[in-house]
Amino acid sequence: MGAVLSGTSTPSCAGASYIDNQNNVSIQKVNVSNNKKGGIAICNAASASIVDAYVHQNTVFGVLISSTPGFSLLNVRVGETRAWKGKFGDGLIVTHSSGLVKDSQFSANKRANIIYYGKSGGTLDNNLIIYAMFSIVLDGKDGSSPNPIIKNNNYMYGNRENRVTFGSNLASTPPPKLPTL
Amino acid sequence: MRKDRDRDRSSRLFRTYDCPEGPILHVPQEEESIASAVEKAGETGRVVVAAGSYRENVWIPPGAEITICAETSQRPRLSPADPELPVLHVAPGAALCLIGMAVHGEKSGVVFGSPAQGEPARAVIILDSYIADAEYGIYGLAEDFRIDSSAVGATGTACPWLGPFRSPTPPSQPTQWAPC
Repeated sequence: MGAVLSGTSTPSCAGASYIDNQNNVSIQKVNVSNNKKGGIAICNAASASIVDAYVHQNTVFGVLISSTPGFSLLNVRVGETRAWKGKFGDGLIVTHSSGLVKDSQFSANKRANIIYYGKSGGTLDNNLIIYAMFSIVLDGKDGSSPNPIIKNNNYMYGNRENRVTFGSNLASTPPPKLPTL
Repeated sequence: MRKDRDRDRSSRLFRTYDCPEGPILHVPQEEESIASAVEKAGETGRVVVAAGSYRENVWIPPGAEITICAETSQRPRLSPADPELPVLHVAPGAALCLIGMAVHGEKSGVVFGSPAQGEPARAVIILDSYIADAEYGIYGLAEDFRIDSSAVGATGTACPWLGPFRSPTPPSQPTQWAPC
């Protein structure tokens, strides 16, 4: 695991409700690569910003944003995320969160380049989404529907499913399991 | 232009924590170890570390606000004396600024707050640093968390000054040195 960063709640990225605790997470000009249990997980923060980051060749997931009502990813490159025990391997996972994903590149992630789960939203603007099995998956597992605005300037190329896929019931990535001290 | 505007807007969302001023302690000149310098610094202080290798586990106690920074642009290498413990452990309510360091963990690198109890650290700011080779590089709870111009991953993970959008590979230009 590269980084698990959280607000004041226990960093279970399985959390399903929004909280507002004024916690800030900022990641800028950072390379998070070659981690065996995931790249960056941000859970239960009030706001999070990832700018100019390079997230490559991590296992399980690249970036996971959970229960964070305001986040932004600007100029982030997430690529070559590897599967774990033959499963998962997603570039960006957004669950119960809302935010802007802009000017970023998602490439050659093992399963999906981008997945939105549950009640998630925000905007996808001017992103390059290439060479994965799925481009963008919107999966309302708990009965609610993710509804991000996907602008038509997002460029999908070379994915096996070169489109937005709805309700594919992909297995959810397990939340990060942290060591006890 | 629009991109710059978005970034400005994004950065304005954050109340940034300022790394503390305070008395400076030099390691290894004035204090033998980083841990003892932190202890001596008390509530607020700056620990300036000379280039070299250090094997210790450093605990930032509750309420303390500590800056640990490299003396020169050569990053001091900090690895754990006890591999089961974090290299740097920031207690709930404490704050750490880590500048220009190379942290080589085993189980965990930088841990902050108390994830089990849900108690956050006051702030964790990591600038121009490497966090390498730890099973868990960085994790915890913090009221403010910022990492800039750094790398988290296995040894050899580059710390690139990232180039323009969609350049095929990150350029290898070195990061700027930011002294404490």
